[in-house]
Amino acid sequence: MYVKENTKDFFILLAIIFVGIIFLSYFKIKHQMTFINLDELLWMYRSRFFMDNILSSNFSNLVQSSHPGIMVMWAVGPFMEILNYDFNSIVKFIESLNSSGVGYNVINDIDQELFNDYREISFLFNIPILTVIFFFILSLYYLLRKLAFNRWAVVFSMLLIVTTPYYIYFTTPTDKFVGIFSVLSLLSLLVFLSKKGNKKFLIFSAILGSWAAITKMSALFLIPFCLFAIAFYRSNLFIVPNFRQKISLRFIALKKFFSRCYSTQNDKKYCSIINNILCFKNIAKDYLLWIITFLGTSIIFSLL
Amino acid sequence: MDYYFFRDKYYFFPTIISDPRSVLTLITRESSQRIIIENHSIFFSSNVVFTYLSDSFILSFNLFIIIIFIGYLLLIIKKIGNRININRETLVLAIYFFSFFAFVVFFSKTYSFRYLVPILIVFQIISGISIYEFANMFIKKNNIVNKKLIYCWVIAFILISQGLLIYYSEIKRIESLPKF
Repeated sequence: MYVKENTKDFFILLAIIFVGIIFLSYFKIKHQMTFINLDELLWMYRSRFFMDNILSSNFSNLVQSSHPGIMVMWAVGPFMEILNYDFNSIVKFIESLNSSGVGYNVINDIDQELFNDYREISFLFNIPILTVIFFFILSLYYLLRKLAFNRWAVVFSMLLIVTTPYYIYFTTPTDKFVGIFSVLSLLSLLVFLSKKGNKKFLIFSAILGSWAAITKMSALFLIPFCLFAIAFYRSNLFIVPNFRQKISLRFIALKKFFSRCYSTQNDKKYCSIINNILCFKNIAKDYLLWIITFLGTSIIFSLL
Repeated sequence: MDYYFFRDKYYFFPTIISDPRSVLTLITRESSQRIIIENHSIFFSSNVVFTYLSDSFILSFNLFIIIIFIGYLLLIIKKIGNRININRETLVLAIYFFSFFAFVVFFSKTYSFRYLVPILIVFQIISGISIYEFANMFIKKNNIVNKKLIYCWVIAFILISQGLLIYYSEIKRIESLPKF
C-alpha cells in the first residue's frame, strides 16, 4: 500500500513538472524571452569572481555589494568555474550602460546582437538555477504532503505555483532564491512544530532560513517569525476551542502565583499550568537550536 | 601602519577585517539608495490598479483566485469566532503572509513586487488549499458522489485560466511592474 502511494505521488510530481515545463516554454515563446537577461549575467559573472577568489583563498575581494546573494554565488559559481566563460564583453557592456545611466534589463532593446549571442547560451548558463527550482518543486510537494494536506489541495497549490512564470522562473536569481529558501524554511518548521517530523526538520528549517537571509536581507524576517511560530505551537495559548476559558484560567493561575497563596495540590497544578503557559523551557530550547544553526550556517556560507 | 597597505598585504583576511571602512561605506551607500522612502503610498497609488486591472483576463482570473483567498481567510476568522478547531498550519501561513507584507511595505518602506516573492508563493499555496476547501463545500452541498470529476474540472479550470493569463497578459517580468 505504501509503495502504491509513493508511486502515485511520483507520477503526480512528474505530471506537475511536465505541466510547468509546458507553461514555461509557452511563456518564453509568447514573449520571445531567453532565460537570461543582463542582470542574471551580472550575477553569473559575480559567481565566477566569487569562486575564483575562494579557490585562491583571496577572501578580501569577496565583498562586492551590500546585496549579498551569497547562495546564488555558491549555486552558480562552481558551474561557471567549469564553463570557464570569458565575461569581459559583459563587464565592458555593463560599464557602458552604467556610464550612460541605462538599466540592466533592457539588453533586448539596446544591443540586439549581444542579445542574440546570449540567447544561445542562456539555457546552459541557467542549469544550476533550474536544478535548484527542480529540487524546490520536489521538496515543496514532500513538505506539503508531510503537513497532511489533502493530496488534491497540494496538487492545486503546486499547479498554481508551476504555471505562474513570474515568481520562480523569470525574476532575478536573488529573488528566486529568497522565495524558494524562505518558503521551504517555513514549511519545514511547521512540519516539526506540528509533530509530523522530528528535530531534523527544525535544523533544515534553520539552514534554509539562513540560506534565504544570506541571499537577501528581507529574509531576516524569519528570525522573529520563527519565535512567534514556536510560541504559537508550544504555548497552547492559541488553540482555538475554549479560548476565552483558557485565558481566564491562566489569569487566575497567574494571580495565585504572584500572591503566593497556593498550597493545595490543586494550586500547585495551577502553577504547573503557568509553566505550561509561559513554556519558556520548550520555546527557548527549540528557538535556541534554530537560531544557533541559523547563525552557524550563515557564518559558514558567507565566510565574511 | 598604513591602512591600505594592511589590506593589500593581508589579503587572506575578509574585507570586514582588513578594510571595515569600505564595507561600511558600501552598505550604507547602497542600502540608502536601494531602500528608498518615497512619498507615494499604497493607498494613493493607481499604477498597479491600472497595470493589473486594465487587463480583462487578469481581472477575471487573477481576481477570482484573490476572491477565493479572501473568502478562505473569512472562513478561518468565522471558525475562530465559533471556536471550531482549525488547521493551525494554514493559519500560520496566513499570518506569515500578512506580517511579511506589513514588514516589507510598512516597516521597510519598499514598494516593489520583487520583495514580495516569498509571500506570493505562500499566497498560491493558501489559494490552492482554499480552492480545495471550496470545491469540497460545493460537493457536500450538492451531494455529488463522484468527487474526482469535480477535482478534474478544478484542475482544468486552473490550467485554462493560467494559460489564458499568459496568453493575454503583456507583463514580462515582475520587476517591470511599477512600484505600488
